Amino acid sequence: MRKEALFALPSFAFIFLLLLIPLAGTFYLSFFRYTTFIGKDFNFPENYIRLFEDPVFIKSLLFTLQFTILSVSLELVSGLLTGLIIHSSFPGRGILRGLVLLPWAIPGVVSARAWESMFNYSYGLLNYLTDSILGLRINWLGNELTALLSVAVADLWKTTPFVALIILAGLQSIPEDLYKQAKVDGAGIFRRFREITLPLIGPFILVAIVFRTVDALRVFDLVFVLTEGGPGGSTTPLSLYAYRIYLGGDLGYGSAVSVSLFLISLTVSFLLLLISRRRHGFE
Amino acid sequence: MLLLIIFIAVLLCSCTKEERLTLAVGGTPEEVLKWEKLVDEFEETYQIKVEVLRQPADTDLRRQSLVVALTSKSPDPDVFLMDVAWISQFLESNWLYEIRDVDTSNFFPVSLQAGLKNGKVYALPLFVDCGVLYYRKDLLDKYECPVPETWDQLLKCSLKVMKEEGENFYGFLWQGAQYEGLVCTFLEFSASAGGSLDQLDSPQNLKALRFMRDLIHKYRVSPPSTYTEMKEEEVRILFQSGRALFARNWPYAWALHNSEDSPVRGTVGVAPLPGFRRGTGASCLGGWHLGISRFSDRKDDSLKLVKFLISEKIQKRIASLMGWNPARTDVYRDLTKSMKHLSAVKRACLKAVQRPAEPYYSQISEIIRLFVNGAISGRVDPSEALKKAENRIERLKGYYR
Amino acid sequence: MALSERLIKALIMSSGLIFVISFTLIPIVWMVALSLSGNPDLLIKGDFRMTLKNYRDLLTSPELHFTDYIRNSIIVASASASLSLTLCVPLSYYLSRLHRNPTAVLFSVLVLSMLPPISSAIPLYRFFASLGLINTYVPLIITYSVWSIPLGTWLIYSYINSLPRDLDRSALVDGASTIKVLLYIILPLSKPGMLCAFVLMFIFSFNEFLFALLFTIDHGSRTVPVGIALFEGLHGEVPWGYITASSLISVIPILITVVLFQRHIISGLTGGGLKE
Repeated sequence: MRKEALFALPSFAFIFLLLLIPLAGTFYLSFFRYTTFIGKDFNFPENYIRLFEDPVFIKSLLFTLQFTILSVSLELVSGLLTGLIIHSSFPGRGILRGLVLLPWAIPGVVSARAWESMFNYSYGLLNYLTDSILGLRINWLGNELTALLSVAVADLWKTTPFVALIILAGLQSIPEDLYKQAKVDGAGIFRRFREITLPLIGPFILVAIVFRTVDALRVFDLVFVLTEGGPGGSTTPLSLYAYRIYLGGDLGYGSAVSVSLFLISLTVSFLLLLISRRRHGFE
Repeated sequence: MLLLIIFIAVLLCSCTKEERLTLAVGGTPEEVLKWEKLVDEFEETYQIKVEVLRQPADTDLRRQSLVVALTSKSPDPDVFLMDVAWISQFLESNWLYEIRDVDTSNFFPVSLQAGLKNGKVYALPLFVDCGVLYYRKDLLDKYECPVPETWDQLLKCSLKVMKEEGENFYGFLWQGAQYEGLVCTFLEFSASAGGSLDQLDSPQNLKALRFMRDLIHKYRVSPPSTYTEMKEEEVRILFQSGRALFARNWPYAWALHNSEDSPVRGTVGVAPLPGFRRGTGASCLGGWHLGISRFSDRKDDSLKLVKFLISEKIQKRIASLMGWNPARTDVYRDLTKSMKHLSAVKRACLKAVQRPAEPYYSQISEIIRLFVNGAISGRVDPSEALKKAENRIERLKGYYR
Repeated sequence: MALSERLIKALIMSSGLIFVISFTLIPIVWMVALSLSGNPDLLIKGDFRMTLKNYRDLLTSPELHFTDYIRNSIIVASASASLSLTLCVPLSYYLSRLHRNPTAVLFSVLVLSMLPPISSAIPLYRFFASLGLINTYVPLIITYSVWSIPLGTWLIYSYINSLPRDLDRSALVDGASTIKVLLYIILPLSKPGMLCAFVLMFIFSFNEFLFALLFTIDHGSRTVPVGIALFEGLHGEVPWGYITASSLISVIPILITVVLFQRHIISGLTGGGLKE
């Protein structure tokens, strides 16, 4: 080993000791029946068989996937829109860029609380609006469908800026000449968008999808505060389910749930990276 | 370099910790203030300083912070409160220190039982909670109904009153949303039919579950929102708005029903829950127990604090100051003079039943909620729901055998 | 043709602008209104009585512990961002100047940042518990600094990589050691990049929730997000005034950093040079 590698040693040691070893530890624990109230014995693969027999786990898995797909697709649309807006020049653009960044920077718990107060049944802003316009009150967080939508909207608010920033980076990389040339050729605004903008920011969109997908798969704080996993456990993502099992005292099964979430994230990110590499030669 | 020094300094100063007696309590800011008053009294009597650690009010969140502290063998908190539903987990995990030399003769038997292991006391009830029936005295008088002792009486009277009171008026409200409270409601119906949650797939439970479903779908005395929305507060608010004849709720609702701006103030009565036959009514046991951490660094002082909190004097104060139902039966006689609902609460608590006492109860509860809610929503046939739930629970027990 | 095109563009732009601004701002304005109102049902009853009571209580009454949370969060976030910075800078220098295939390394580091935190949380928790460190700052600082390494390295690497190489190369030729080059040439030059990384890592640590929930027990070490998440009322009544006011106060440090470093953050994240 070369002497210069010492520069990398501290960070790699930290990552190894405090990220990879604990990760391996979770795999290890998942091979045991291990609770605070019985003790510890090896029982592989029972914890994993149990996953498939556990209706709560399956429900939670489905919610995690639904939420990920729904929120990522919503975020792409609004991120693209926001990105286009903060890219074009107009007076006060600097202020707007700072403003748009804000939801991304504030704690997830705070944004969850903000939306919780908006969705509140008796005095939330949303029900005030629906009540005065449609004469209708909706228990947003109280039934399965609207609870899913509510969580997705709150997540949309928080993460649109991130997607918008990546899109902005993409837009900034497009040479202005291309548009001028197309204009000369008589291409309209929609055609220019379809034929120049979209293909050229394609790689950036894929990057946004990758980051947002793995992030949505591990959602925790938003749901913890906004719905507490309810109603009836219908909005419990896998990380919250694992957390609950841990606190119920079952470290072995909780680890199996965590491992399954890890494997799903890993598979999804690898698939997405593979696609992006094949399509665009990532990086 | 400077940053590194700061970092090390932070490490060092966060490691030094003094021994202190800490009591973890949860609740609203007002409740915590009341706790502090009680603690002041203890400090004066014993000259021992107590620090009150504030926990959230939500049961699950409170359990979470205690589990984190106990699994890490933290010396704080020394004394804490446990919901009766999760004492087993704490008992079986060996997190509790034995409470010795304490007179246990005056507690509600079922409630005391929950804190025992091998005949030794590890947790003592501070206050109890039991499901009770709220009814509208004025309406019962008007339509000449008795205070129901059986479900059948309750149903007949509801139908009669609903016919006259018109739309948007409900006969009987109860907690049916898919959450912990549903396990309690189901337990009450089941026990009052002679069933038990340890053996789910039984004719008694089937009778109970069918009746619950029929209340909503066949007789329509309970609103359809029962299985989607009804929790304690939803039931309380709807009943308090004057739009229902009966409601199953916890004793806390009494004070709120009779508050200044309540539309039903002065017209509400309380009774133990009915049964399928006269005298078989049962209440789900709730309430909170006191426990001392096995990892406490102040065990002797903790014992003093626990004994102080269950003393006759403080038990009375708990009722008058916090509005909780004392865990000692012997203080009720004096209290019922000023708090009339307490005699019904006492009768209900004497017939209380406990939810399954397993350390993994929270997982059992998830299963019961899921299937009972499915049945009362009409999606699943009750007998099938019970069979499936029983099956799942058997499998769960298999994992932990 | 040209006119209608400009019209379409203006229409899309302005409707988009209105949507983006209102979507971003409404929840914040709503929180401000709730935090300034004595009662949460200001819309129903239509009476909005302005009060600063919620803010005053939070900042002055010690039993709410909110000032403790703020202090803990600032200590934890700045310590972990500092620690992470000391780890990231040498790594970034090494990757940029001394490594043959930096993108592969960067890429694997990046993949690490995509892990779900829960999948390493319990062994970490047990490790810190066995050292008696739960409910101190240590586990949070250390964990956050590790989880910030990918972000920090990514930012600092791209900054160092954009610096001209002649300076440090000639210093090496003159016989300076790599450590000296890092300390005396690279470090002073990459201050803006480090600043940006510091800010973002600070924000990350300030906002983190799951580890903070697991590694803290009380106000001695509990951070702001956990404090805000655990404000709860019994039987459904929620102290909205405190919740919204504390949320807004906690946003202030973040707001200041974002406003001050808005340009740095955007260019740092979008990979553009900082000089525009």
